[in-house]
Amino acid sequence: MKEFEDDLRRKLKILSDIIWDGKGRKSTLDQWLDNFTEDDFKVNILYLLTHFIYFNKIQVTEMLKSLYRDLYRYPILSKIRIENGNSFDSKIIEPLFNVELSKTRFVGLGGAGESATHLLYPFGHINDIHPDYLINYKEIKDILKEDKKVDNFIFIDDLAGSGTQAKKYLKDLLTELKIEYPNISFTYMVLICTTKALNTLEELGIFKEVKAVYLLDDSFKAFDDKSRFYANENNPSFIDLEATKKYSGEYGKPLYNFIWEVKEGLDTVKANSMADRDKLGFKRGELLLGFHHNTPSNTLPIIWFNEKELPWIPIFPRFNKVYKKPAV
Amino acid sequence: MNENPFDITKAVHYTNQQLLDYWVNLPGDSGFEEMINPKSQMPMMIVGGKGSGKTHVLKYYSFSLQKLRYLENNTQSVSNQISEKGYLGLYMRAGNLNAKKFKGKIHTEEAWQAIFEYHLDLFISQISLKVFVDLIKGEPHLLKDQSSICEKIISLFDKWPEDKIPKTLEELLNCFISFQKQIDYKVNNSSLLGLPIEGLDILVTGAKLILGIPKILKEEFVFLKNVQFTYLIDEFENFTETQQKFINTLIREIEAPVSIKIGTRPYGIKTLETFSGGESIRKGAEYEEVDIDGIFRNRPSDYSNFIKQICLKRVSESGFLIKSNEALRNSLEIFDYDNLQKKLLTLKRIGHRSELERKLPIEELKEIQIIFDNLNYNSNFLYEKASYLIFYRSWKKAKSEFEFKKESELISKSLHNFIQGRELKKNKHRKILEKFKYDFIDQLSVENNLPPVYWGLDNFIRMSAGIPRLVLQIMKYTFSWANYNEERPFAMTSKISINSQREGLLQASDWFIKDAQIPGKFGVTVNQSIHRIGQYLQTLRYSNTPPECSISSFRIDKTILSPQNQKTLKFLTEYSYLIKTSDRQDKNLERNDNTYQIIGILASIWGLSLSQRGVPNLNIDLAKLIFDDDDETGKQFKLFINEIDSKYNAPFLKKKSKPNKGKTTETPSNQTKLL
Repeated sequence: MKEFEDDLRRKLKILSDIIWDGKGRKSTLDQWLDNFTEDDFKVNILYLLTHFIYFNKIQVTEMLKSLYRDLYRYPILSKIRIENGNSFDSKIIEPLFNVELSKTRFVGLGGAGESATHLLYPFGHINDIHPDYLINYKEIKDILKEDKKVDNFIFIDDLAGSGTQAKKYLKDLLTELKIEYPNISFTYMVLICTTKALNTLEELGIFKEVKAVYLLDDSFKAFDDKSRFYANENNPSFIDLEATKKYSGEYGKPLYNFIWEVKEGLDTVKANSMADRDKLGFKRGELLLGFHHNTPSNTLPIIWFNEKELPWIPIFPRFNKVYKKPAV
Repeated sequence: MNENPFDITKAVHYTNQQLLDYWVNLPGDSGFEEMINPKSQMPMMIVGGKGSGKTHVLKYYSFSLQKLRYLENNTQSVSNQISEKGYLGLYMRAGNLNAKKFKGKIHTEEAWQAIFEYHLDLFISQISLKVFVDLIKGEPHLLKDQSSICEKIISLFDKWPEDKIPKTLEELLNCFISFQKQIDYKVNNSSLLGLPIEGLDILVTGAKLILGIPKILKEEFVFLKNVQFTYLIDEFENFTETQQKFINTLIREIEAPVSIKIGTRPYGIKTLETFSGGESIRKGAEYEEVDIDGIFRNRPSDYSNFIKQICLKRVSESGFLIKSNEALRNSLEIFDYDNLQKKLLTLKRIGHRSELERKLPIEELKEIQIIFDNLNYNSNFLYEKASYLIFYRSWKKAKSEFEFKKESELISKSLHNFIQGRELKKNKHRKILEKFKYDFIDQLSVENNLPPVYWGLDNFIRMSAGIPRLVLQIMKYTFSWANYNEERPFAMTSKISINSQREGLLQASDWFIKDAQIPGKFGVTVNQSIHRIGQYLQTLRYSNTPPECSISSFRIDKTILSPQNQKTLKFLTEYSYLIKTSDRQDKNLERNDNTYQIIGILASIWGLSLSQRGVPNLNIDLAKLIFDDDDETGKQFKLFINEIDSKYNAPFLKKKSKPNKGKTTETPSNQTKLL
């Protein structure tokens, strides 16, 4: 076991050096491991961490490029070319594309503290999009009233783990707008989307299309029957999916219970039930991924839980969300 | 994160400025300048293994670096300083020529050779022309009218194909580039696509440009009066045998003002023959040989200072405040026996004591306790290990029933005398400790799952066996680990931990094996052989009764090996897995023995000594078990290791296990991965 653990630590060092932007260095790793009391469990936790998928700044930049180029620009170019005799002439194509672009607004999803809102500026900068075309979802109504040309809204998000966020912010708003403006198109574009979230968002019926740069199936869930992280037949016998799932849940539950009860103010019974659901990531996310700008709640909470009131050291901290307005 | 001062370990990856910044001369009476002697007319083969620093040395004497040095010096013009130094270095890498492309079924070998010679003549001459174009740009007064020099150079050609005659060296250089491109285009198409080479005129023959241009330049430039043109040809091993024959012919025919210095790996010289009637060039008479590896290995103190200076330069160039060899040494944690002693005292169970407890065939607890009371000595575990070795040796020798208790009492007396300083001349403890002290230290570390003791810069230098790049690789990985472990490497107040050094060394040894690895079956054989040698020596060294002290080497009469096994041994030596340390003639046995030591960077994998004292012999049967690569031999080798394990470890079973075909056996108990 010691040799296997040493190999895992060597792998984690390489990940830290090369992929994780220097995060997860030894002292942080050791402090995080100290959260777990069972020594035998630590090797499983280390194993889990070696499968953590981290999207660093370079990767997020490339994904933002891909989102604009592959999911937005190329389909429009393709349509323009077909309508113009399969032309390759940029003098014909580019002006027509610019007309389409001028009728489009890219919308950051969520409030000021949400990561998707923070992505909007780099998205515009990387893809050379005029700042006027980048808006917050709260501005949609005003734009529709003021600028009659705009007929296409693209919602930009970093991750759709369950689809809850988009539903929370957009369901009522877009349902109402679709009645008032039936010719307006609303599209949801996301860097990473689980198949579950894709189905949820499509079933909402408010988007013309839901598109993702990366689509994650259930094999990306840490403890799914088809989990890719445990697919290696050569794993030693002490690498145990079921035991790690059990322990991760046991450690994760009080963390999420704290969020629901103390931070969100739910009553004890309700908080306990919610924590039971979210102990392996928001809405049973079971994800093992994070971005350089934040770690999503759908990832296992043992990875990211970062509330100063509890003595838990995260390995990839999630930036604290301000859950409630302070009393005035 | 701090920049790793050891990130780049290959000279070809450096810029010229870095080559200059990182240059360190070999300390001692004879530095590189004396060794290479760039203004000497005598041709030279500079032989060195991969990573020995040949490229750095050759490039240092090239014009690009001469110019940088002379500009930094700034007291005189570059041309004046060239004149003063008496040589002009013209560096080329054979790898840049892609020399292997000059072949293909469509033309004869002779035709390809002629094309290659023409190509090489143009290629090398461009280096001279580039140097002079550069020089004249910096010092236009050197030559006002370039047309006459161009005419003279053109006259070396059998035919000049251009209507226009170049008037400047730059124009002439462009013509050469265009001629060479034409050859490249035609050769590539012929070599890759099998097309015939058509319309290619060979415009000049017999290395006329290589030999002739320097003479012409010397006549035209006053500052060249006493200057020699030194061609520095690197990576000689990349030439084919016939191509080397051509270079050898040049070496034979070379005359003032030209000389050639060639850099090659030890196995890079495919032939010494020339085209002058097939005669070979003679070492000493027609060329000198400098064996860089040998020089480094035979001057350990100079080599050690040289490496420390290299490390120091890198560390200080990266902005760290380490300024002396001492500070550099102190920035890495080193082994301290007192710490090991203290650590052992804190352990609940000590490896060798538990092992003896398991092995003693005695049931009576009281007797066992007496034996341990006699053998154990908490004040110094090295003394205790000596007692255990004496005990095990006696047990092994015992012909009839071994009297454990009685023997332990004798050993206790011997230890007592040793401590008291009585009868030291005959004292067994003294004799054993003189020889086995470092073996005991390594055993104590390994048996108790503590890191072995290969730490500190001095040990890393010993491990490199005269190959500077190995130290740089170990330091590169060690620094990277220290950074990861947040140890603030090379900050004045901190030390790089043993743990970081251990991981760094492990990664470096892994790199060493992968870097030298060759694909295919032979690569597997080579890898398997070195692992078997390591495993065999490890089994001996970590046994209860090691037959020799400081084991890391073996002796073999090469002539007993099959041609295939000789090839494996040769490869292991050429790629420095094994360092040939001596040739010895055994007159009594009428045999020529060679001694090989596993290179230190690999010795650490099996916990072998970095010193060389005891040298076990590989007889013909054992040599076959180590070098043969069939499956059956693999099984037999495992059985053999078990046999050795039983022979040298208590309870010393004398029964010889017969090789059992098709049946694998367990790995012996002390076969552990040590790092």
